[in-house]
Amino acid sequence: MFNKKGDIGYVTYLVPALMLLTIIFITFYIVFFVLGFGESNTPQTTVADQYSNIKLLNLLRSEIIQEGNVILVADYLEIANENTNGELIKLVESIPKPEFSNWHFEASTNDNKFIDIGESEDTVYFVQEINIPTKLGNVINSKLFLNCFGCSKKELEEVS
Amino acid sequence: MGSKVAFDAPRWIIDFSITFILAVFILIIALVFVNEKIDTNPIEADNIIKNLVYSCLVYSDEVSSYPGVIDINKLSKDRIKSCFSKDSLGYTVSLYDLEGNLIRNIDPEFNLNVFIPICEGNKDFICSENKEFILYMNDNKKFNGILSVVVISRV
Repeated sequence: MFNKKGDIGYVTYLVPALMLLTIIFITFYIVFFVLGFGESNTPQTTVADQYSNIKLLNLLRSEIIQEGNVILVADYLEIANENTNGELIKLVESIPKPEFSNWHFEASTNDNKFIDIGESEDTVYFVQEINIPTKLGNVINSKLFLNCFGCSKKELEEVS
Repeated sequence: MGSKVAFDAPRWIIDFSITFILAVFILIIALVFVNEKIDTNPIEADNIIKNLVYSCLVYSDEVSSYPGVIDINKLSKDRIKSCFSKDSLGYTVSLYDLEGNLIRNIDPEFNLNVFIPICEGNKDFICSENKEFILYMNDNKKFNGILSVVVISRV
């Protein structure tokens, strides 16, 4: 068998070639399956991606007592002053949220932020925005988002 | 010549072995993707609560419907059953006020619902809970509340 031309070369390179192949397989397995390199998140639909503005909408449609009168939060934003209504703060705090997180609600007009409830950090989720036209012709920008650092996917799904 | 090389096998065996290794590797990759489990339970829980809040339980009057506002009179077992049902899953619906007091708890008695209390830690089932900040109408008065849906499905 080994009298044929090329047989020695074939055997000489076979073992290193198989070793190289094995190393490539192991490397590919670690890189792509264990570390998940290059894994695309685009086609994966998560519940947290499917949120709507319903929390902010319901917050704006909620009723609070301001100076003895029952008014909607949306109407309250037109007359809000420096002392934010305590009931509004309670409402924002009562929206379901994961542990160690908080909802942040803010309202502004012409870049003047006149309501700012809850901490605001860099890690935010479920950003919801609604613009409310006022009787005076201004537009109030209301914004609600979840501020949560280190929240798990499951925790976010529960409150999305 | 024979003393220099301690290897003696027909070449087709070697070629076949390499091809076999490559084929097995490709097969393993294919099986990994084909058998990948996608956990749809949280998505189904989200679909159910959206169906309830935006459609099935929505409060409406002579003028309009109000998505996000629930009519508490519609929160009944029969109504919930007609809202969404599927053989492979079950769910319960609970309404709480903002203080966490239970206003109403509806168990539509789907087959899987009996396993909800023992779902946690049970490998045969997946459970998830979804909560939504809602408004509900009771006696023509509007209240804030939390709608909670617990969904169970088989693994």
